[in-house]
Amino acid sequence: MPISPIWEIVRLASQIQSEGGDVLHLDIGAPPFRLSGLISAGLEDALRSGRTGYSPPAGIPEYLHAAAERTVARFPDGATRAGFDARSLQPRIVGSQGGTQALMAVISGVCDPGDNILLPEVAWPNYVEQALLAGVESRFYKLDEQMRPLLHSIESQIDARTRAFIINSPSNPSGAVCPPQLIRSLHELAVERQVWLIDDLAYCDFVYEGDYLTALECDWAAPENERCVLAVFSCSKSYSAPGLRLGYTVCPDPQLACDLAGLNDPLMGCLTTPLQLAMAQGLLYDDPAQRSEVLKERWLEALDLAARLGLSGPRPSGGMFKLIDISASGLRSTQFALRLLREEHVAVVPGAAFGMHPVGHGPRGLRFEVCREADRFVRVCFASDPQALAQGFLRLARLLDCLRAA
Amino acid sequence: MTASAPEPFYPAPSLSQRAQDMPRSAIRRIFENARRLQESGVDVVRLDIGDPDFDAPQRVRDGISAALAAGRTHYSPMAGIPELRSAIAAYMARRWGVDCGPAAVTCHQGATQALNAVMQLCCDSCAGVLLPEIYFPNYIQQVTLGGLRPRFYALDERFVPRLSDLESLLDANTRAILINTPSNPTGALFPEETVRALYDFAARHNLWVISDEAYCEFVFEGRYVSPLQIDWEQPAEQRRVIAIYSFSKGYACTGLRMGWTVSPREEVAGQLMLMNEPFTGSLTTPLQYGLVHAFDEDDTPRRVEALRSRWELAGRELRAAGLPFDPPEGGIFFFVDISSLRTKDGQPISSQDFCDRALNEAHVAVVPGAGFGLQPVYDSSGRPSSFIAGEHAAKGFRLCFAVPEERLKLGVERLRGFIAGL
Repeated sequence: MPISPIWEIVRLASQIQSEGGDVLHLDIGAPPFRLSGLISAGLEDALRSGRTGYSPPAGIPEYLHAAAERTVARFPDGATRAGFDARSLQPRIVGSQGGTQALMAVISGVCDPGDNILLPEVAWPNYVEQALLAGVESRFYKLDEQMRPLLHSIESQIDARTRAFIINSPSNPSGAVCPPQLIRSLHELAVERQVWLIDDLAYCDFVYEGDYLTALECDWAAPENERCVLAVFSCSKSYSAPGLRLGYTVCPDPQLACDLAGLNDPLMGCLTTPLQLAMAQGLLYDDPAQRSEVLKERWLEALDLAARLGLSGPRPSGGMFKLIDISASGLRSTQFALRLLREEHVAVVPGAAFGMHPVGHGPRGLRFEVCREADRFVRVCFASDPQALAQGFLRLARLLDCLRAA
Repeated sequence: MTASAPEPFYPAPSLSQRAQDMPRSAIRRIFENARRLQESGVDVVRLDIGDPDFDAPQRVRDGISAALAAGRTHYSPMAGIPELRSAIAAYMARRWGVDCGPAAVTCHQGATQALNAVMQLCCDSCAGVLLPEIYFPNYIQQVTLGGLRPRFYALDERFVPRLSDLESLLDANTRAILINTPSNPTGALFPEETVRALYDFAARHNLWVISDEAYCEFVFEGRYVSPLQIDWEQPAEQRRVIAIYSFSKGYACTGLRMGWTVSPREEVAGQLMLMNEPFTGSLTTPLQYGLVHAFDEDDTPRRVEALRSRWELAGRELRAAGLPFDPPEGGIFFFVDISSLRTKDGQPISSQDFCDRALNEAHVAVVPGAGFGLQPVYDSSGRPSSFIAGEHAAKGFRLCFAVPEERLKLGVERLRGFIAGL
């Protein structure tokens, strides 16, 4: 397993803090939301009524029903066209202990050791780790300058052992959102080449501009026996509930959902019962749109700050993060991030963390190379409070100017 | 009018071979069948799943509520919150005399997840792991998913490992031996000399010991000795036990899905923490704050006493029903022998048929022993093409006695009637 450069940042940040220093956290970023009272009340109810026993591996019916309701409500047109209501969608849903665990089950569920899976060259690091654990070869497809997938790069790398490709729109770390036409082409490609399209929708409730289409909706429009999208949802961002660790996967058909649920058995045993009951309330009655409105203001603020301070990088259209190009500093992203933390007390995540590509075995185990396209950037979270954001951007620009001049 | 070309048809991709190969748990199968029967209005006596009827302690539930009120719903550190790791370390020292400190403790989203992480940490794909011939079915699922090669060590008539057979199972790829005492499904408690002999065997052959301690709090007879205790008698650099614990049984929190591991050294604990990231991302935060309070009071003995009377009752009832079994010393299960049962036409009955029929005809759910003894058969490409039930496991069925006494009585009574009518 690769040691992520994130850990260096975390270690140094906690060292600075333990020495009494004040660190501005734009690395993980705490969105300004509390857990909805509906969800807390749901948990209290579950605890009071003693619902603390085992759950079925796929999840309890209350949770699966709520996830189905939410999915139909989130994508009403697609659902209507495909003839889905919550009732007919529910058997296609598998609960998971967070989006991460869902992805682990999905990757193990569709790939055998020796198969390969195509990932964005700049991506959330868990994909690579999960593929490694599953004994699956990671291949990396190119992104355009706005960090959107380049179709031909995916197409040209698919071979007989390719089982799937992952897309993530809006993306972590770039915030890039794929335009609908690109999503349609990606879906067509998956159908024609008979590979799975894993649609990581962790940030689907946070899109701030442009039209938004998911591969899941395209899949619903396809004939049932051609469907190939496994859509992974997370409750962490949408419901500001990362500590509750819940997510779910929408599968093309009920049998597949049943088979994937079987994988929860060895991976997790089952899911936490009281938290599912709590989150069911959130999925049914709490609307992520209010949080999206708040984040949209911060997004605008971040774009404005970046423009004013001359900070470049791909423009996010969703999500919670912006990449900032630091290549003019002459430093690699980890060095830059460590200096920013040491000298300016601002924590950001080095782009290198999103581009650790395995390149074969060396004498000390697996070797990794940092993808250049990732190493040019640092990731800032714009969900933090506006003052911290402004201060953080200012200090980052200051260090960048200073290094550029040197 | 020209005929248009037919639309091309592209069949959907399939699941991975390993997902298809992975055997489904016999417990889940009976569980689902029993649930369906219940939904159709039948009163089924559920002696299948090991979910004791104790509620999670009030102090744990209050702790969760307090965590919510304090807004503790954000990401947790990957190894668990420091408060919980400290509380666990104190418990390990107090309860088991293992002074491991919080640095050796890693929290996990349930002991099952912990076990999977430990298997992957100790063994690369194709590495050998030694399992008891009668075992908890998740082991074989995890082994199949991870591409490991299991071999099975024999158990005697009391379900204690036969030490003489161990050496013959080794090859150059063997990396670990799994020990589970008290055992699920047999309830056998391994005597101290057996645990020491297993430990010495592992030490001689430089194997990891994976110790599944899910039932360590539930011992009714004899003295419980854990491989972990023996390990901590050794200098740190020679230790080899990764022990897996669960809040599910001892602290009646099955649905909270929290467990922990104790590692021989801090760096092993750190590695296990890194394994949490791809598997679960992070751990549920409010539940951890609740479970910090699990150890505030020692109410485990109360649960053990409640279980003890059911354990005695189950023994009495099964004996009265003429069903042979080896009395379990711990855990929450009896493993009942049906190998000498004959139907009216003189035929033996398989554990699978017995349990299916007991459920459908007598409305009592117990789990076929065959499901606890699946052994893979590999084809020439190294794929587990089928699974065969080990003979020893296939002789019986598992019955959970952690249910209210009247249900237990009714269940055994129904089994007795069912057997009489076979």
